[in-house]
Amino acid sequence: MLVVLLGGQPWCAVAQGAAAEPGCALSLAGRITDQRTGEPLPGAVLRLAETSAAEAADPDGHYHFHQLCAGQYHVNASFVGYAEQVLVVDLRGSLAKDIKLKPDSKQLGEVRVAGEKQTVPLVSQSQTTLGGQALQQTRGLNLAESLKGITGVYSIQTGPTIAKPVIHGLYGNRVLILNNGVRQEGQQWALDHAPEIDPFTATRLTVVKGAASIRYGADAIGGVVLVEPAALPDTAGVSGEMNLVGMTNGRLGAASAFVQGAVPADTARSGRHGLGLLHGLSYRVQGTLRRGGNTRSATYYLANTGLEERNYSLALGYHRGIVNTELFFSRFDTKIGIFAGSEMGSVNDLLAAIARDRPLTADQFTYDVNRSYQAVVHQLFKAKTTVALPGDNRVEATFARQTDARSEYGSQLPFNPALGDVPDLFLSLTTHTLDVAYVTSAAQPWSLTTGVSGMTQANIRQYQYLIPNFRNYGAGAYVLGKHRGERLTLEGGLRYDYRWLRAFLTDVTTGRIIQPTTVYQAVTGTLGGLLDLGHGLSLTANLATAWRPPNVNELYSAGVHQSAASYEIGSPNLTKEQAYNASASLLYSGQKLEGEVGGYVNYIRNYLYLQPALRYIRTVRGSCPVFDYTQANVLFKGLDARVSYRPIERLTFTSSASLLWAYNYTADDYLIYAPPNRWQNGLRLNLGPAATSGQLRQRYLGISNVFVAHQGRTPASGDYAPAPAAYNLWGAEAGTILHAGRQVFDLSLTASNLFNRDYRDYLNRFRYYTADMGQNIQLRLRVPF
Amino acid sequence: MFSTLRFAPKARFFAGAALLATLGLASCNKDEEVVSPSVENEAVTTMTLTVTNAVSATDTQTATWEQLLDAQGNPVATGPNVSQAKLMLKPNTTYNVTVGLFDKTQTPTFDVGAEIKERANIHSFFFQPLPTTQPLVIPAPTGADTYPLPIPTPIPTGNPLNLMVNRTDLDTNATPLPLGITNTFVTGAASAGYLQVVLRHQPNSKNGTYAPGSTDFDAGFTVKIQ
Repeated sequence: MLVVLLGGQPWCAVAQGAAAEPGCALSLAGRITDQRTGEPLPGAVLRLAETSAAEAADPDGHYHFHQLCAGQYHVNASFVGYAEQVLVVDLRGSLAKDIKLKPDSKQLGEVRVAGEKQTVPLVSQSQTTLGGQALQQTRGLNLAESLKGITGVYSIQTGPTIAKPVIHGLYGNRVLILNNGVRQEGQQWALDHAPEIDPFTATRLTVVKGAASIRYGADAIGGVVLVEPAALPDTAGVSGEMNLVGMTNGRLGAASAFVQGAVPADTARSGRHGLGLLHGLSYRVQGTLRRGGNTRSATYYLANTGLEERNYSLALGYHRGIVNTELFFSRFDTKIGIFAGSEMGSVNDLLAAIARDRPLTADQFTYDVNRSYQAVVHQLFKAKTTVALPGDNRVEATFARQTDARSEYGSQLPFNPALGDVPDLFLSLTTHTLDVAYVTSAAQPWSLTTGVSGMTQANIRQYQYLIPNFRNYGAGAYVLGKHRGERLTLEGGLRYDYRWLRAFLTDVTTGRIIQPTTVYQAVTGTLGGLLDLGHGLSLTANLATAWRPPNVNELYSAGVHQSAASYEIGSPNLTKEQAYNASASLLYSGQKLEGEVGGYVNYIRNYLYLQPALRYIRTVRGSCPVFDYTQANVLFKGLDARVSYRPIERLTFTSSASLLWAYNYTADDYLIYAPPNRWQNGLRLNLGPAATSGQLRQRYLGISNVFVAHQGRTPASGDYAPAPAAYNLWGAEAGTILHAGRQVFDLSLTASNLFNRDYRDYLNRFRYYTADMGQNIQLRLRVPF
Repeated sequence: MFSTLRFAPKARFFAGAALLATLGLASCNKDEEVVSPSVENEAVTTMTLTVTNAVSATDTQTATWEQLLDAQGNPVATGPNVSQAKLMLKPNTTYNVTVGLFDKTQTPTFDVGAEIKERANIHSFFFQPLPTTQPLVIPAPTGADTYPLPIPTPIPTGNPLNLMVNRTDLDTNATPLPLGITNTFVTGAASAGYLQVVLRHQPNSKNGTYAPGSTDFDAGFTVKIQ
């Protein structure tokens, strides 16, 4: 393998003890990760040829060798499923050396367990990562659907095509999405605005559960979703991957591919100067096409629920000396049909729709998407520079520009043909952000991350009034420290944020343009720890605060929300929302048994929500109930538990439960759209020849079941129909690795809602109009090259 | 990182920083300060009924129901203007009736009715004389919905309004269905009541009944037959 970074040549043949000045008290430490995805490789084995010392990487992928003498060492790094690597290290002082292993193409069937602990951003908060095979099994689904299976995570849907992630009962602006390290700034305030992200760009999807404002600023009250692409390659050659997905429901097809390559930085040293300044350059080109037609419930098609998506991204990296620069551009372009049976003129139409057991729309399949539909184009440009400083410290600066153009087309063309085929609503949001952070070495017991961030944002609307034009300025500064002890890691941080928001709108009484301005500021903090109890047990606990300024829709919206037939009125006097979050979890990792039990309490002061005003406004289409944006003190508490048991080597049983209780103390009532309790079970049989280490197999068969309870804790008013009954869905999966010469084909088949059950989900806002999705059989092919 | 790293020229870093600053400046325009007017593509503010005696072209009258919108596209706080929403008909007479629909938020006023005629295959007008002893064509409001003014909710019980409405125009669906822009009203004995007129939008689902689709416009008129 060419991965051997220093080539193993004796070009730096420093004699043992030549620089013995620090004596034999040096240490060699670092982190061992997957070269492509950046995931840590806990359990990877490192051996020093010179001393015969061996050490296994900890759950974060860290390794440490202590009391070494100065000199040259050969480090042998190995891990199942990865090509073995030998590094020559020239030790003159204590050194931190990160090692990246390249997956061995012969062993792509490796099963990666979701739920590993990561080091970013906080170790004391519960977080779950989807990567490897777990992520592979969600390919072709949208972001929220991909995350839906994670304990404590749900999705709130507007029909089958639009979904938003829900973490511990919170969603929308309360869940922050970081796309390749940049805060996703789209129109996240409405329930029918899905995140504008192509999950195919990511090799890891991480959900941080709990308040995480400390590192990312306002809004992260419920949690954070990190969408992380693989690190750019740093080894020579061109590689890539092709993904093809076909689904029976909606006859959805998705194709995604990437090609990447690099001119390694270090070859110049070994005498190959041929490419001059090109050394250190790396690139990736990625694209996705996704198209689906009308989805089908158990017994009928849902009219106008097709979608078309065309996305691409380009990444360019340049590593020279201490400076590492990365440029990234992505474009996400989607057209999503809105279920025709959801068009409501008034509450009368809505109640009539609820009263019938199936919609009156055409029961036929088509790929055509007609009005009503949404067309969204989201573009992200990011430039990131990292400057390595002595002692493994670094400074990172990230600039990003995002534009989000959202067009919402109503159910009919404008009556006046002179207007053309224009949308009913157009919103254009442009955001510029700049983040600068100073990060000290994670290999030292004490580490520190400190930084500042700034943001400016402008929104321009056209056609209908739903939210006004606005300009938003934000600034923040934070410091986050961590001490890694023998058994206890402690971390804490403080952050200050400032937000300035000026809206530009027409006053309805005077007809003049007014410019109301609001300013919000907040200090947030976090304190947490991770304690290694031994015997495979560890305990984490975290206290955190988070905040969110009122969004522009909560301040200034006025008008009918068409698919909900509700008339929503903002209030300019709203104050910031403040969350106090406590969480703790106990993790166990043993030979046959692995699991996590975690509890959380999230108290939110001045929680912003739509409260039924118990009055109606009559429009020319009929009556619509009025909802006012108001504030209350609410409490979310819950329990997440998961266990994975392997009685024999080939068999794995997994079970997880997500329980939640949400209450509005101001209104003395339950909160609407609180995810019902859920219990998931799965059984997987691993077959086929064992990989070299004896644990991983290349074929598997599995069955799964998800039980979602009836949500009995619903508010007394504000919903049009009672929460639907509990449901129980079965699924099945099978996968294999095929070889054709040196080429590997990773093939899998997944069935969801296997028995084509007719059900409705409480968090699908179209449950008033239609049953949820029926059986869906999905075939996936991944071809790495 | 290796302890033997070379330091790159500082110039590269500063060039990068300059690039960032340049891009940052791109955000300094003020387009958001120009507020576009609120445009409702599917706004309808006004419905007229032009009623002409079938045997006497000079016996004609027009009733108007109007709900104007404010600068944000919402109904003006004063509610609909129903002062002209009334018809005085003669007993046992046939009238030819044309429905007009207009959008007064546009200048000049836009004739929505003409456009609905173009889109006849996905629209349908329904007429409901109230009170009535016949089965309802338009379901009575349920839940918290109400009849459009000036019709009271609930309808006072009393003698039915002796009015029969026949839609006389047809769309071009495979099986042609009535549209309801042109109609005949046939009056019976003297009576008083209300007429509810609803325009339904029924894309790919028009079947002659009221249920499919959603309501585009819902208006009411006082009718006196004497």
